[in-house]
Amino acid sequence: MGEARWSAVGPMGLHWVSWSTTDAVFHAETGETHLLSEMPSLALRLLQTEALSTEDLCVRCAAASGNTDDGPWRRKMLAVLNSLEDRELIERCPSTTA
Amino acid sequence: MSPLLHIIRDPSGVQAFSMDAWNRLLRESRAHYLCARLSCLIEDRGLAPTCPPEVWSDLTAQRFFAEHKQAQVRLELRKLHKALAPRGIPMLLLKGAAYAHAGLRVACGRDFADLDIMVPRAQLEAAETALEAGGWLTETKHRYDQRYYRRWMHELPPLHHRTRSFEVDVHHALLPLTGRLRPDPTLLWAASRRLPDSPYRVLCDEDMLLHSAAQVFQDSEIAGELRALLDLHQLMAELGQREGFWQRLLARAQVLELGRPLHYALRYCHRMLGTPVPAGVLDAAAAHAPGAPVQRLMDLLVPRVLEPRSPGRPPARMAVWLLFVRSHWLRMPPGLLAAHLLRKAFRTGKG
Amino acid sequence: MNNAFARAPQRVGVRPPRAPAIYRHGPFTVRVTTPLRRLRALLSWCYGDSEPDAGTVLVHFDLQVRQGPLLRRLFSPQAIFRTDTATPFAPFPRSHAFPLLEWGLNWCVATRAHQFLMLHAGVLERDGYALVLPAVPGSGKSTLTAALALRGWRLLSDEFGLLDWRTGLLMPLPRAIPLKNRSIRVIRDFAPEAELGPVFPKTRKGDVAHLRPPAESRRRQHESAQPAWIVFPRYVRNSPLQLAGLHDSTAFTRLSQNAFNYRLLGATGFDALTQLVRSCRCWSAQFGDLNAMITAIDHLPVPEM
Repeated sequence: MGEARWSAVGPMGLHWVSWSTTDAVFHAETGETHLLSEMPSLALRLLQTEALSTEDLCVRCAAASGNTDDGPWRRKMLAVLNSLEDRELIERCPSTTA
Repeated sequence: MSPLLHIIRDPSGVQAFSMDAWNRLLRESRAHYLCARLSCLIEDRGLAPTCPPEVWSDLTAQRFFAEHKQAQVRLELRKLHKALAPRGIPMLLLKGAAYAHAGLRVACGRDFADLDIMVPRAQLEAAETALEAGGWLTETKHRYDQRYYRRWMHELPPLHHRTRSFEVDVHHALLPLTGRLRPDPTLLWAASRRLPDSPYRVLCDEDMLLHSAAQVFQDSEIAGELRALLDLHQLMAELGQREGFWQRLLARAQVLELGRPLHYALRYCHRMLGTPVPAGVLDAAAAHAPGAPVQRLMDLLVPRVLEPRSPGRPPARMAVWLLFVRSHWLRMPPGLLAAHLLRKAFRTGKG
Repeated sequence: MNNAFARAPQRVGVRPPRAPAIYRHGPFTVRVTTPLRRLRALLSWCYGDSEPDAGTVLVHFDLQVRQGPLLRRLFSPQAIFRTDTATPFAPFPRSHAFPLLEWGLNWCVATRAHQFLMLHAGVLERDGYALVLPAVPGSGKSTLTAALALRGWRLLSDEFGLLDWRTGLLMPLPRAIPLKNRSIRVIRDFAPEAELGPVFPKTRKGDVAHLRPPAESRRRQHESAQPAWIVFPRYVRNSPLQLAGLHDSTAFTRLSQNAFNYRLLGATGFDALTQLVRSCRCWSAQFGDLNAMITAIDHLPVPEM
């Protein structure tokens, strides 16, 4: 599980708009519009630029949002990642490091 | 001549069009849902700037349907892959999904009614189980229909996921199991290729064209299949430019025993749409032609049921009916056909 | 009745349909062919004289309203709406031919005009700025649109907010405003001078009467407008006026559900809608009194450009 690396699906086809508490993203790959709150938005934006392991993603999201990267945070992040994966916004890519 | 056929043959004809001619062309294109594809044919020749702006805007606005459906297909395919890949079941894309994923020009503006994929025959039951577990449902409730599909058809009853509206057809062969022609699926799989950067496979170029030909001239009633004829036309124009395509095509038709539908496809594309087919290929495929009386009859019927009809002209009822009967004849042996039609008739009577 | 007459009703005993008439509705050219004299009279009352079909303009929508079969014509006469390629509705009573044609044209626009993001909204203009009134069931959108059009706002459209996604501007489509049931009375009381057509009783949407689009709107039907205000109206009987600012994200979500073709347009629709929300101030409004609502709308802040 910790080995999984994530990347955005069709990163070039993500159109963003940001409002005070919510972001909306249009996903050209699937033709769907999604409203995203802060955490999933942050995760997807990071994955749009590069593929990251679950570990790196948790650390960087926590740092960017001023949170502590602890157990509850990890559990929340996993739920966020599952939800993004279910919406086909992100996917697991085969791990490149041995 | 129909303005639509005229412009498919020679898109540069639009340069001389009056607004009256445009109106007639648009009427036919709308009737056959070909506006978006017409705009692609015009664009491919660099002729877009010669179209009146209001016409161009109206035509290109119809492309959204195809683009939207292609996105829905990508989503559905990702979900199907997630359901099938863990069980080691490969997916081969057919028809529109294959054209779009293979980057063929025929996909431009081409709308989808449903999504067609093929899985290996040996894994069909595993696929069915996996899809059922993944939330895909079949609407075919009637037990006879279920049995009919399973015993005689080349695909599962149409599926759709309970949270999405897209229809998925899962094939295990290209043509019905009962039909006169049954190309061996293992040969198709062996020649298929994996798309670059993608988990999906597609048929090799020749098989893609042969499948399309067989669909129109072996497994359909032909009437109203102008869009499918345009598929063939565009596939031939694009694939025909690849090195050695036509020689491979003729040889492959022999192996898969699809010479007859290929002959028809080449003949009517060439006659009706002016498709560039090398003369030698037309002649070679003519070896698969039917006897002279049947050929003459087909020459009479096929253009009549495929041509766009101007509104004043009565529909070609007799030609449509004869080709309807032919299509059933090709799909089933006579005994089975009689039993099938009798059952359907009986059920209608009861309903 | 002899046999030939019975078998060939379309050739015997029916006058040939009149020559096609061309009407311009904002960005669209519509060709109407119908033998129904009363329908033609209502069309010219509503939209003025038609142009003859000279074959020199692009016909976006080619429409026919025909009569039903001969026998039916004697007992319960019908009107059948057809486009050049489809017959989308079941026949209507012949006396309802006008609402049938209007709904038919709506269907044509909604299914084809994807060169626009089509909001389901009333749109009006003042000083070059457009007010968008998106419809929700029971919103009183048509009534409010009609009332504003009778109080100095220029009517752009009642049914379709046509957002040209190339320019971000709203295009006019000034057609008859169908008022339903109680609204007919409301508008008559509100403006006794309002030019209402005949009441069509018991259509599928109840009683319907049409407000003729103001001449000024028709004359300026090619002048687009810059969207500035979006107000989601909701009529609640006896309610005092409540006007509340809406978050951009809420307005975006509501508009994406309101538009006829938001999903179909994909990225184009997303970009057009985000730009629309960015260029507008958005409110939701609840009203029980038409005059109070109009006063509030008249006092919406002028956009700073």
